[in-house]
Amino acid sequence: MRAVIRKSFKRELFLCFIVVALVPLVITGCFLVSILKARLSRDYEEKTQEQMVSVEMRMTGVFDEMEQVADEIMADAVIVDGITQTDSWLKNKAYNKLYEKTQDLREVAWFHVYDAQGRCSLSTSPQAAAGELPAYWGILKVARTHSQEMILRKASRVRQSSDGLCLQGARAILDEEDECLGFVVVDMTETHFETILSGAYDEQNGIAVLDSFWEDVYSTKMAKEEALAQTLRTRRMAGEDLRQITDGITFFIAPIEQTGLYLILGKEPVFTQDVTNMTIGVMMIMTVCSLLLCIVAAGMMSNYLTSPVKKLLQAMARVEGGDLDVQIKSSRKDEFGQLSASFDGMTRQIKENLVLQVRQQKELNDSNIAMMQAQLNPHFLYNTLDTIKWVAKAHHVSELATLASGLAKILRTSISEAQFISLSEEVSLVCAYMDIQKIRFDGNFSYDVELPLELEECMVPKMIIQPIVENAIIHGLKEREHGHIFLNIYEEQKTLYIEVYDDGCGMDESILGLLRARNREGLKGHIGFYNVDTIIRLHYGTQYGLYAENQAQGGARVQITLPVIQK
Amino acid sequence: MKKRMLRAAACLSAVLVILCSCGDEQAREEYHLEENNKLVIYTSHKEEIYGPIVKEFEERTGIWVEVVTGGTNDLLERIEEENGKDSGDIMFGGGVDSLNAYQDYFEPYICSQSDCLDDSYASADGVYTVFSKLPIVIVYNKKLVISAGTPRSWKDLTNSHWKGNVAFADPDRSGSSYTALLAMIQILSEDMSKEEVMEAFVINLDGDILSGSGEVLQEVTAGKKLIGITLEETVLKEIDQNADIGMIYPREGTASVPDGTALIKNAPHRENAELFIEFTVSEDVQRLLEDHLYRRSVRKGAENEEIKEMRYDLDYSEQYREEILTEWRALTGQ
Repeated sequence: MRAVIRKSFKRELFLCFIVVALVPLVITGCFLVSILKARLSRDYEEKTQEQMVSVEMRMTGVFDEMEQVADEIMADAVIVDGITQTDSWLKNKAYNKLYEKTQDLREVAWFHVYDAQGRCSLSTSPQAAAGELPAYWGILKVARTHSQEMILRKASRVRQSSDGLCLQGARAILDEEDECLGFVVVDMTETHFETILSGAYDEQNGIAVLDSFWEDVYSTKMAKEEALAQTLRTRRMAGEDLRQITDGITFFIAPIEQTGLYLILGKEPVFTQDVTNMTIGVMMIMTVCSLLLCIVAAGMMSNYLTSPVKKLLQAMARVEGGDLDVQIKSSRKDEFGQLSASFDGMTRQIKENLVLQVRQQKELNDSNIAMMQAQLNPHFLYNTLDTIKWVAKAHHVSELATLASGLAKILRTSISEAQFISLSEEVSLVCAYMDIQKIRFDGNFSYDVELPLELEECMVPKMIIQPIVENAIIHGLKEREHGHIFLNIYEEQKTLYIEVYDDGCGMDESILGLLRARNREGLKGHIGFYNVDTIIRLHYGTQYGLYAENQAQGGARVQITLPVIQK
Repeated sequence: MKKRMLRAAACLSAVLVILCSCGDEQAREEYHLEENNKLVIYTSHKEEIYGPIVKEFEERTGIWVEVVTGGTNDLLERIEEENGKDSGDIMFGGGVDSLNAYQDYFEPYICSQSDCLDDSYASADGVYTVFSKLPIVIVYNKKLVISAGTPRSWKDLTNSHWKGNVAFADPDRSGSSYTALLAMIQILSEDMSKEEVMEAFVINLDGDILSGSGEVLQEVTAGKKLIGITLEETVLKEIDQNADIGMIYPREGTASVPDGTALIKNAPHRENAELFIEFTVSEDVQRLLEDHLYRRSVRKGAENEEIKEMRYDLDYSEQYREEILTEWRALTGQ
């Protein structure tokens, strides 16, 4: 994987872009979520604490009032008298007093007056008899021993069903001699609790009131469903953590002052599984979206950055292959643009240098030839050959005359200053050459020349056909009894075609390959071909040149293409 | 390169962990309960019996009580299985015969108030401490049987006059039924052998044996059966709910086998358990049983009306248990 990435600049860039784009996103995402979570939890806890305080205030308010009313009842002689009264008129008076005293609180509690044996004597309960409470047992016993304060207990009524009864308060009524005359008992039912707490807390939350042993005194519907009280008590008994991770709700515990009771508030956790899942989901979607965006953007960006490099690389490869016409021509203005421009400049410069070098070389060659010409006066050679021709004619040795006049012709043309000669001159030169070779090879081959009249005055570089014909005679027709060479010249679409056919043994495939590849080193012995090709290319450009192939019926065909240039 | 990347990854994950963990703050354990402030009670009593007693015990001592409820036999088997490991502290409830049968798993404890308690069924080794008396009575439907025509004795129950009209639970399943059957056998043993008693009684049941003791009262109050044999407690409770039924203590005397409380071996909260046992036989609890819970006190000189009690032989009932139940099954065709 790493090796694959490291191999490409584009892939490296791509990966880099993705990492740079994604890592900050994920980190910020996590940051945001946890900050949000912490913040929400704190707000939530504060809000809950407020609710708990408000619930507690309501309850302690009611308890205080209850205690006051109980005090008033105890202090009222008519009511206390009424406890043991059998006279219905007096009892009725006591009842009137009791209702008068309790009128503010009857919505939130029932008041009873019990006699010293625990029998109910007076009651504001709408139900008939409140029954009896054992005076030696439970709340009455405690009230008797702690007569200075109101005792609050989880309500329990032995024998009768205590449906809906939640909390019981009791206070002993004592006379001056500390004798117990009876008890004021306050009963609070679920309905009473609902009245007290309505509006003090959020309905979605569960409220539970526990006694000092954490037994359920009052639970709202939600708290009952969640079995708040039982769960907490079991955990406290077992010594487990009160809050556990598996809880479906979070709860808050606070003691209610001076009552021995505890207030529990249970709440759906602010970060439920749903919310957490949603947050994670949103984050995932965001990540995927940005990943996609990132892939597209990174792809485009890395392409934008790497394409000039790629172009440059390709151009460089072409230059290496010898093509100096390569130009990148970038329209960019940045460093890549500058780089491309410098590259273009560089290839141009190299090409100019090359042309200059060739020209210098040529000048050098010219001066060499001039020097050689200076060493031996060519006119002397030419005149001597002419003399040989005439002596031969005088002695009727026609072959010698032909040889001498052919050689003189070739010599004259090759040493003439002109670089270009007409096609007819070139052809007659080739004919002279072939005549000489014919005599040399004892008439073993024949030749034909096809030169249209209108092309006779075309100008071509001198001595470009002779090396081809020489090759055909020396290599193609070697060891042949009878060979034939056909020189065909024609024009087609402003291009001059010069073709040399022979019916010899053809050319080696390896030579043809070397020719096509323009390999100078490999063409030893056929260097004439290479020279012709180079001369034509240098003069007319790369679209012209030399092309050789073997014919299907045997023998080779060499074709030279040139532009048609009339004199 | 690799090392650097690793280091970077480690730093990053550390930051993330810190970020994520700062929200979760575990609730402080401020409500820790000391171990010596706890008590675990196994009880087969109904909630209406153990509820007020346990609550009052908590209030008076400040000890937190965990109650594990279940049938007598289930709880005893559990105690046997636990064998003093991770077990409860106390077995509260169950007939003293049942408790005695599992005495290997209980710690002897002699209650400090044992002098004040009825000693007719007291355990000599202190395996259990008696809790309440549960006399067996004959119940009848007042609408269907005139009080002059009610059965008066155990002997009457074998009379063919009541054939098909007696509600009786299967002694195989109900402890009180077994006690009743044994009481009958022991009372009538002078005139009849136990097989004869059972045969005569089974004929009177006429093949209709109830599956649980709770059904006895249902059958009688509904008038499906005229009379039934059950515990005094259930009848009194039903009468208090204004059921039109009457109750007869058999003339020969009735079995009044108490239930009890026993200290489980290796109890983790032994001191608290002892406190609880003392509490169960205290004056207040025993008075509450009589006043409000339809039970008879085990304290001497209790205020309830005297009834004639037979001498129920616990050893006999234990010794012949299998034999009698096998015979019973054979007779009833089970």
